[in-house]
Amino acid sequence: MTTIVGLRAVDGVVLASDRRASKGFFIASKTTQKILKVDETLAVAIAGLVSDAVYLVNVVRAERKLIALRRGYPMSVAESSKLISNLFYSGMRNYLPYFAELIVAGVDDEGPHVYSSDMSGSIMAEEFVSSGSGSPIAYGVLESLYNPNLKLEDARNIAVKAVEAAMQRDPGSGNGVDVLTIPVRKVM
Amino acid sequence: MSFDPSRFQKFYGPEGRMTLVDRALEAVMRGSISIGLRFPKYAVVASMVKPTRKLMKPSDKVFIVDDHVGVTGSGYISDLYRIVDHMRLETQRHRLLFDAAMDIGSLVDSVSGYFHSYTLYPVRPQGVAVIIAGLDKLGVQLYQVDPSGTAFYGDAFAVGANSDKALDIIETGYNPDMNLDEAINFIVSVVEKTGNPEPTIQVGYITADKPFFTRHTINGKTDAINKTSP
Repeated sequence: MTTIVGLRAVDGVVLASDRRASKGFFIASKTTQKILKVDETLAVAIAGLVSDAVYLVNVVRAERKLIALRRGYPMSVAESSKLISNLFYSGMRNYLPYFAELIVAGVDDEGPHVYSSDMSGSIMAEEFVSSGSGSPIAYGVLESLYNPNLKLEDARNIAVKAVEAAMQRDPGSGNGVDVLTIPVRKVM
Repeated sequence: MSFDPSRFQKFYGPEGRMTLVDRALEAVMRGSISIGLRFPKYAVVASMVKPTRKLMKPSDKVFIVDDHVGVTGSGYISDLYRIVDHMRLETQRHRLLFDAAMDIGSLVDSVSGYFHSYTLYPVRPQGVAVIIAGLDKLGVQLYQVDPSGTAFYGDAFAVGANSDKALDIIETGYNPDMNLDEAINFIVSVVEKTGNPEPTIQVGYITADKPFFTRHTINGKTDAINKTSP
């Protein structure tokens, strides 16, 4: 009951989400934060059980800080995504899965990256991705407008369009769009 | 049997030194010499292999830990084997967890924790000192870790028999512009000058442009040039 999208542009990444939290046919919140910043170079968009998703983000936030301090350089987006997928996988194998789907987006010294991660523990690098009940509608927009040479500003507009389209036709999504962009830094 | 307090080793001697660790360092000084050198673009570790009887194969002294890390050491080789295995496990665990090669600093921290754990209880401290060379995002790295668990970072290390003398020679002869062959020849000459004519030396090196630790065995000085061109 959500729409989240993530896009990779040539000079950064963008995440967008709706703001509705549902309890069955009831709108529980009209101002839900579904995009969580891990730090200045990594963010996660969440769909599914909020508590599970927030827990995973908190673990990654702590681990990224610890590892950067210990080894003297930050974790890459790929390393961070792999850590999340390991947590998902161990949850699934212990019959206590995390009920969440995450879009992990960030920049590192190799450039911008978007990964999709789900409760099975799979991890996939994507150019654009959407998740949640509104994702089939969002994908319609993304499939027709996305191309890999997009600039961050154009990617941002497409992400907003995709979520807006989903909000029009998906009853689980609505109440406005949140959007976050992370540009590739000039000096890393 | 009555209680006899002298059965329990004291950790600290009268001067406040950890006596067991000091003894372990003595054991290290009995081992054949190991040397590590770091240059801007590469690092070399080398260890003298003691001559064995004719029908016996000499044991390895330089070990590949992961693609991008190698280690050598002096002292009790069986202790070294255990540490090599610990390092191999740590680097693979890191790859499983993060899908990336482990950085050398964190690996050294882990090795140093391994050593340190044997200084906390009345057990035998590890009778070996290791020299670790590797490559990560911060560049070429060289460390030494002692039986006390202390880790040192720098451009030149020597452990084992006559290592003090070897370090004196290295300190005057070290030049950051040396190429790999010159460095290996330098190491061979240092080992010879510390009283080992025509030594068999196992070397391992890692260069900044290729994340693969490579090993060679050298017999005597004349061999060095031919066998080591990468």
